[in-house]
Amino acid sequence: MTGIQQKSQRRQRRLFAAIAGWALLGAASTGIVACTNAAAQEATSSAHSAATSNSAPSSTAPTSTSSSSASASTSSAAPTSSEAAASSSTAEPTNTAAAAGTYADGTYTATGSYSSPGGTETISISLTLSDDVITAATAEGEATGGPSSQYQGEFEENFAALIVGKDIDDVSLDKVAGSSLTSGGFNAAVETIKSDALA
Amino acid sequence: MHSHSRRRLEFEAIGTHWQIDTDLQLTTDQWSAIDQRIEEFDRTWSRFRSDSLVSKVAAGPGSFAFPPDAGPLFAFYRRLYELTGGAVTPLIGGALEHLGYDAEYRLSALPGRPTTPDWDAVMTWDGNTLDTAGPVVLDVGAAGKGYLVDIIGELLLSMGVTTYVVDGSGDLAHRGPDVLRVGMEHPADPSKVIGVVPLGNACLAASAANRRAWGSPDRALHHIVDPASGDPVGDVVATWVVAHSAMVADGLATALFFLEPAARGTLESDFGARWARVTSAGAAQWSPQFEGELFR
Repeated sequence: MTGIQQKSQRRQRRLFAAIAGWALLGAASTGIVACTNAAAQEATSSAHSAATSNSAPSSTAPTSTSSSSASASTSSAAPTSSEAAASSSTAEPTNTAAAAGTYADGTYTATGSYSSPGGTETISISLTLSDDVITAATAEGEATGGPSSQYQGEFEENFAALIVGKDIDDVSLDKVAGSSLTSGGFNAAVETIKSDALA
Repeated sequence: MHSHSRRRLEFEAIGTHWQIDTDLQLTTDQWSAIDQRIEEFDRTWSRFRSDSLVSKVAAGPGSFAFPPDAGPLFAFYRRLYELTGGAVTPLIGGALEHLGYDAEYRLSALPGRPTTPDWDAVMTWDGNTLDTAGPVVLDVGAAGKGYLVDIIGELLLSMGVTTYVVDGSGDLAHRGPDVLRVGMEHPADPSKVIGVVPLGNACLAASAANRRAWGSPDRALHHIVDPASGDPVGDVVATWVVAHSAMVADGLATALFFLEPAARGTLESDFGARWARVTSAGAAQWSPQFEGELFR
């Protein structure tokens, strides 16, 4: 999918993602935080702790791998502004409770990666903090298919910008389901109309 | 597929092609019982035959006693109606006729925009009887075929057939130990598939705007019509739903042409239905638990 289409879809998914953000943050146990607000760079010890969630289904908890492999500059990450790439200051999330006034206001983006039977998957999370309160949270899964996309998908719809067709003959199938095959009257009428149009 | 032999019956009914596969050989009497059941359904619901119950309703107003199996279909339609804010409605028949999808297959639209009445303004359903305030054209095309697939499956079960595939041309009910691989037909090219859905002890419905289509290049028409605008829907071109019943899968496959993200998010939790759909831009969306693999 192209970045532009992806972005457009992201906008569509904001509502879902915002709702899902809490649950997902609990599940994504690894992450690197890149702050999109330069003033907040010192405060990148992450809002992760504020986002613990008991609503994350245990079956969805991704296997944590080295967070160093998770980079906000990976192509699948979705920085909320161009500053994200520049402000490469990163930090491991901590689980200490946030003290009042700890975090600078701004939008934080974290990308976590984990390995799964389907390959390496990433989840990108954005949080907007204002006075230490999370005012917005979004999550984007970047699973490439297979079981992992199902796990991530518990939080959002899956999306592919462009479907790809394969020849029916090249795929082993028992049935094909698509538009209802019609018969009898409808097809006959269409044929009549076509021949009338040619007359 | 298993190696044990399968018995297949193919036939045309309610305007479409059917295939029923069973592991046991059915007797002639059993097949004719299935045939009769389909005929019964058609006699109630087909707006394409003048002797059907819905044709009598169309000549109303009146009070019409329906057969017992109408209850679940009306009840489900009411859920669909509420889920979609009135977009999926059995009252769409009038709009379809207006656009040319009528008993004579006129296939040319009348002038003006068709309007679709509000459910509560024109009819009440009490569980057995439909009371109408005027002539209303019912069309249960959004869930009726799936419901008939369920009915045939139940009938097979009652005959002791526990391994079967009922395929009502896009609406599938599967029961048995094997798992079917069902191709998702490419909405723009029937020689291609865009994915594969495994189907085992579940039902699948597909809906697409490309086949039951008519009209001209200026005004392309098809059978999924938005009652609010009176026009066929345009943003979504194909949908697939897997659910525990073919009626639910069928109805939601139509609903998916209309649903916004928040409502789509309720299909898994409220209906136990997993789904995928393709937009007119060629993009795909699918629900978290959708079993299928889409090619990318």
